[in-house]
Amino acid sequence: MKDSFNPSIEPPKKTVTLVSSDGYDFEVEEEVALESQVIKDGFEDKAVDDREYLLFNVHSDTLELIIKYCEKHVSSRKSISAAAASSSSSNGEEALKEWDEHFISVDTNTLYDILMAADYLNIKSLLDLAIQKVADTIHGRSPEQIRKKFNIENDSIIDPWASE
Amino acid sequence: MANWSEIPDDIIQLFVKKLSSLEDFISFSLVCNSWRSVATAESQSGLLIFSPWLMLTKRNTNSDDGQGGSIRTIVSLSTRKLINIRLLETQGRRCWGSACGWLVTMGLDLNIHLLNPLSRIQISLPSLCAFPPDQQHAFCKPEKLCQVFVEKFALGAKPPLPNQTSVVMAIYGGYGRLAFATPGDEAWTPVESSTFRTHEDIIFFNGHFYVVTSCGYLRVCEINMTIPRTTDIAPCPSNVKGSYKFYLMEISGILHLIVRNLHVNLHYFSVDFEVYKFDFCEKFWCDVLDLGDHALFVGNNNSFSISTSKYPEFKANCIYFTDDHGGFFHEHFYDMGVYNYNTGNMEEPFYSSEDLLSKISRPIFFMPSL
Repeated sequence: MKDSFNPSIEPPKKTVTLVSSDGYDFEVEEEVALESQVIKDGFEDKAVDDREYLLFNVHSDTLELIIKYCEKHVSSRKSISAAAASSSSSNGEEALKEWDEHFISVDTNTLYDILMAADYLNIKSLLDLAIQKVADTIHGRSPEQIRKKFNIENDSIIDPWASE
Repeated sequence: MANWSEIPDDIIQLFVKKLSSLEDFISFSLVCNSWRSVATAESQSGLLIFSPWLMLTKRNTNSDDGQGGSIRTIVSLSTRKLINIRLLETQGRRCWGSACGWLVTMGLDLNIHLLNPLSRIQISLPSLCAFPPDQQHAFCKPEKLCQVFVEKFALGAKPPLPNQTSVVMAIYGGYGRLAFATPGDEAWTPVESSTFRTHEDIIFFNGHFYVVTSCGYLRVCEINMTIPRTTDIAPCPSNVKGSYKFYLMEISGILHLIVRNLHVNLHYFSVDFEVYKFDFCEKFWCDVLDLGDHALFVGNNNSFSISTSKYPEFKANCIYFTDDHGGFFHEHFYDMGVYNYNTGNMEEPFYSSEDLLSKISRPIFFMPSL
């Protein structure tokens, strides 16, 4: 399905307000907010002047990252489909993948926040990205190394794989 | 603050699905209890594929690694990787493998346990002293008893869990008799046989234990009777001659007999194999000319087969075997390899090293499972 995006006849941007758990307002474009399946699901039923979402589970630090991710994905999709429409070559998808990789290269605390927010807001591509990052972090590590990396306490499992 | 151990189960499930190897899966499941319970449930749902392992033994149990020989080396037959695990529960103990993730172990203390080497859950069975009296081994030392007293164990039904009872059947003693026990029993219950014959292999198949005698006679064990006993079903395939060992195996839901032909000289070694399948209506063993895409595993384990379409790293139409000939524990020799049932030739061995045998244990095949 192609986007019939055409800058010249674009209507004025509609925006919605996202409110973080610590009370900060973020005004974002409608299409960016709609990257969240949860927001999208109830969107049409909401009055136009009541498009404000209180995100009790998402701190402003995380929300900022989430918005950055959604904005990037909305704009990349547009440029990829524009390139496809004009049949000019584009390495948009490659570039986006690289951008994603860089985006998710964060410490495990931030990764946790992104993961939980992506789950809460139901942003599937971001959830997949975070889960893959967790699997990559686990790869090749011993249980003890994994615990250390993710700051998990050993709740009494005996570890037969401990390195000597 | 991030709390990775209290993540909802449905997200932990997503982690498990993205893990790229069995080694990662095992590490993952040993991180904490919540991760473990999800990983276990996922592995039981059959979504994860485990491939057979070969567990080696150390010849010298007083090795200088400071662990007193508690390290077991495992060959992942699919990745050809050697994995060292610290497994105190098998130190100085003989092990038998199974296809359901559990080992049976017996040590110089003559205690017998079921052990899952991944989870390290251990369940006690009645000890060797709780078998019916056996005159042939009345005055043997513990080391000798470990080597020769029990020929084989077979696990019934599902992997035994603490709240489940599972019958374990054993071939024991100088005359290869049968006895069974469940965890929590005080003693092994003997299974009577109408005519005297040494038993050679047992399998749990379609809800019953079947045994094959050293002459190739197929019998079924009726263990729910007042006096548990065996009933003869069918004699050996008529064309089997010479020196051989018999194994019972399930392949695609059909009972098979594997005949391992041995050359006997200074040592026993495997020459070739024959495979038969059982026709329960006609009570007759039929020749099997081709194993299809199956790979078979025989030795010190409950014989099992896998489909190479599910495990492409293994060779189809081949029989993987380990040394299970009694009485050569002190020798620096092993009879282990891969027999190609199609060409009739031996393939490249899957593992070869000088340091394979210990005084009491043997390399064994088993299927890891949590």
